[in-house]
Amino acid sequence: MKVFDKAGVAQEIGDAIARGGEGSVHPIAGRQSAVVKLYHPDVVARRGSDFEEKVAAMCALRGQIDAGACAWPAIPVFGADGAWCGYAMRRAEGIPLSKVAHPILGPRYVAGLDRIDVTRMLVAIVRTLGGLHGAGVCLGDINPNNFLYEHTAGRVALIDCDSYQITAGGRTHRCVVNAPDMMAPEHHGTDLKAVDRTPESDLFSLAILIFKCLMLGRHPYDSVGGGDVQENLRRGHFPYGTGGVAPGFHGAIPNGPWYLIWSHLSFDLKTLLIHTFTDGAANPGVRPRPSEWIIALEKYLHGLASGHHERALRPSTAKSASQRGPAANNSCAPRAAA
Amino acid sequence: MNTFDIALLGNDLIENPTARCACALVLDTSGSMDGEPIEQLNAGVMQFIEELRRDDFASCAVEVSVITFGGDVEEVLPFTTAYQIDGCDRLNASGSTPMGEAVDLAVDRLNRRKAEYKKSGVSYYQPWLVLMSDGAPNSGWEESARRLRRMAEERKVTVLCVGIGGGADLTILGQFSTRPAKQLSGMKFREFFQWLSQSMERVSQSSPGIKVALAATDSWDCV
Repeated sequence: MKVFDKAGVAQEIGDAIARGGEGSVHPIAGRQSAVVKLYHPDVVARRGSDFEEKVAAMCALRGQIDAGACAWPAIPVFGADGAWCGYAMRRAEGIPLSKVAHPILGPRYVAGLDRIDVTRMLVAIVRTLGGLHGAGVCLGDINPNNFLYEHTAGRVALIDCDSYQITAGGRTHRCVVNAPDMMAPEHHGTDLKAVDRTPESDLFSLAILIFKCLMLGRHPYDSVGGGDVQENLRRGHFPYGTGGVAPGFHGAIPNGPWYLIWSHLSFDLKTLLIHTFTDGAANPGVRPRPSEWIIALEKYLHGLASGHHERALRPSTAKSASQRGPAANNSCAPRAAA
Repeated sequence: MNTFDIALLGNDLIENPTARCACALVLDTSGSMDGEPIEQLNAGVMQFIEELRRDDFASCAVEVSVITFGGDVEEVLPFTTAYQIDGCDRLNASGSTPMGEAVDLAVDRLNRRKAEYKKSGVSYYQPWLVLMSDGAPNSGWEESARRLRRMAEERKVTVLCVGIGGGADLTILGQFSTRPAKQLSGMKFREFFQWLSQSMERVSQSSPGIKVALAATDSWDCV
């Protein structure tokens, strides 16, 4: 099969190596490091010329973003009939975070993954996200499927970038997809085609991603008694917060190793997570910014490397006294009913 | 007593909080299923479990239960996450068709399982109940059908009814669901269970709360 660039130069592409709802990804003959995403013809027809314009605008924006970390549209490609059909981009490798941040699949796919690996990866993700925000881009659909982790290289790649929200030439091309359990409360129940995402709504989803990566894939709003995750999310009912529900009761932290795993995070990280998931649920303006996350994550990394913090993602024992910081309520344990 | 072996004891909901998709198979093992039908059903169920185990996400997310009705009603496999199911005994055909009682048991087990999910803080997708039968049920099935259909109307379960062979009563089967019953084409159990495992795989890759449409069924049903 052949595709063509704007100048009409042909490029041979191979059979699909990945398929999604919108299209398929194909290798380019003779080039290991690049691939082509082809959209299904009915997707192109349905989304119209705006979509072609969006992808062209993204290609033009490529110089302003961290193209090494993102599978970003590089050049538009066209079919033999001259109709636009997709784009070429850098080939991204790695294991999706949906498998890495997973209690069963994580250990299977990345043997020996520890908190140092995860924290380094999170620093890279936050830096890239901060850079994208600086270029006027909002991710919108931040979910673990859209990040690929390469363990040996210690690298993360952001994929599905064509779904991001970008502003170019006075126009905002929106992000119309979402995973409801990752999405900021202010966007729930809205028509995503009519709503602008914001850096603040990205920061809420980012915090959920950070929590999941450090907590074996657990969702921050999972709690005893069920309470639909999205309902808890909308209300800011975060079970690990201070003054939380006593163990075993409705709304408490789930039974099992979860409190223990949480307790081994640093005080600063726990504070940022609690802040985002309680006050930050209803109040986008107070959500921690990328710079705050980077400071806390790098401090944690330093503590992990020096042995001050437990490195195992799943520690077998409670935090020792020597690992506790100066703050009186370091572990943010739920208190018994006062 | 037929049993499936369960590889790992211990509470998977505590160790593995992946959002769950419960799939209850409620299967006719009455005397008329003897011969080729029960052979193909056995092979199909085994294939279903194998395919789920081969898919990363589905193996950790899909919980399968098997309840048979043939003479009496038996819970051959309680809800177990796919990756923990290891080996099985064959289903044998004999007796009459206590379909209503089997559905009642399946509903009871489904409701108990949801309560366990809630207690453990585990999210879940809308569960599926697949009812397969080759003939008319024993009398007294109507209330069981009404109860199940009401749950389907309230979006508490997706119910799929499949008739097997020329003696299946699709009108009766259709009473158990909000969707019309389908007729399995010939002995296409393998095709049906492949469709079912693919459907489960798609669900387990989606977000709980997002509705996943049923894929076309023409690989296994009669038009």
